[in-house]
Amino acid sequence: MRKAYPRMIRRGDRFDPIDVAKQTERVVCRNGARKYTAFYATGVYGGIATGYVVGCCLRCFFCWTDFSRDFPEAYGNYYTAEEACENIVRAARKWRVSKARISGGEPTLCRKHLLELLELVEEREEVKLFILETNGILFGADESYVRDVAGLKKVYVRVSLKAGEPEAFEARTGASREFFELPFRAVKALLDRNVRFHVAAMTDPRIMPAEERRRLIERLAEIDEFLAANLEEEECDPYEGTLVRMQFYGLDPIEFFGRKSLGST
Amino acid sequence: MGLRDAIRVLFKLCELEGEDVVLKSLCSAFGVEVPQELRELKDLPPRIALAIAYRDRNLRPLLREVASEFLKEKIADPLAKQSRKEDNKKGGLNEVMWNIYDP
Repeated sequence: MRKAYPRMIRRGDRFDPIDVAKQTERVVCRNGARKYTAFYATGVYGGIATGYVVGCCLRCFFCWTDFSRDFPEAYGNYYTAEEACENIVRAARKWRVSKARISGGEPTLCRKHLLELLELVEEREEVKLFILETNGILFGADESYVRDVAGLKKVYVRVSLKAGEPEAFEARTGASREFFELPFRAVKALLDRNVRFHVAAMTDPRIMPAEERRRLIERLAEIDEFLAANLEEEECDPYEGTLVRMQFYGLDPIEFFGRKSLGST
Repeated sequence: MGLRDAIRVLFKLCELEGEDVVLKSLCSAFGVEVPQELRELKDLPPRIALAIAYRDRNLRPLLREVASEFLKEKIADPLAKQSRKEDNKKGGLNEVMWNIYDP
């Protein structure tokens, strides 16, 4: 198992994502504050205020985020939960949106910060819904975390699955295959706790073969058929970070996306 | 259109655009009325609206039933979302989407 801090992965790299979460937290969390690179609003979800957090515990080769995922030391500034909440609410007011989220990195890193932020958001009338976009690793590893979130009225969770089988999970994320079950455990825990959520998955056929997609959907259907039917199927887009990570991984991004979709003539 | 049929249509519309457009705008773009039972959720993206409706004990049995039927279609058609999205780009939903909210 790889011991140095993983940044971009090559084929065959693997690590313990819980350990990487802890290593990342040592960089991006400080006395209840967390590193963010920006606060803004965007058109997704019909308009949403966003805090862009630094740091993740997976290293997906198709990841769309900026390079703060790979070099958390080099990006962002620390914001307390109060400061982050204020900035998110300010963005919501400015763009007249009532939904909010933290995105970019993995929001469940820095548990104390996240729970404080969510508690603060509960009290702000400007925000009606707070979307927590997670890879499910930390929720699956410690279900008491799901319990902590379950009591919050404005929270809505989106769990993003990366693979439908352990080998593919390791190959795409760099996280060892023995941790493949964690996001599914998170899904079960969210369902058991009656949390409002849906599941997403990177089922882009260029990344996930049809047979694996079928198995993933069937696996979700075993947990709950509604979750499987309501599965959000993600597509891989040619963001700058994605192109570089693919190249590093050993895939030719030009061939992957095609010259036409990259705007080349 | 009854609630069952409306939910079936919503599952299909979610395959087109379930996250980035709110329910009322998507329904309006396709000439579908937002069901009375989901009116409170009309300002949310349709996939989120369906997921929240599923927490409602009264709606859950019907949603589960329609989901079960729709699931067969979803599994059988792995490229459906991509191909439908491509069709849509030609048809104008993209334009509708970006006119709805553009900071």
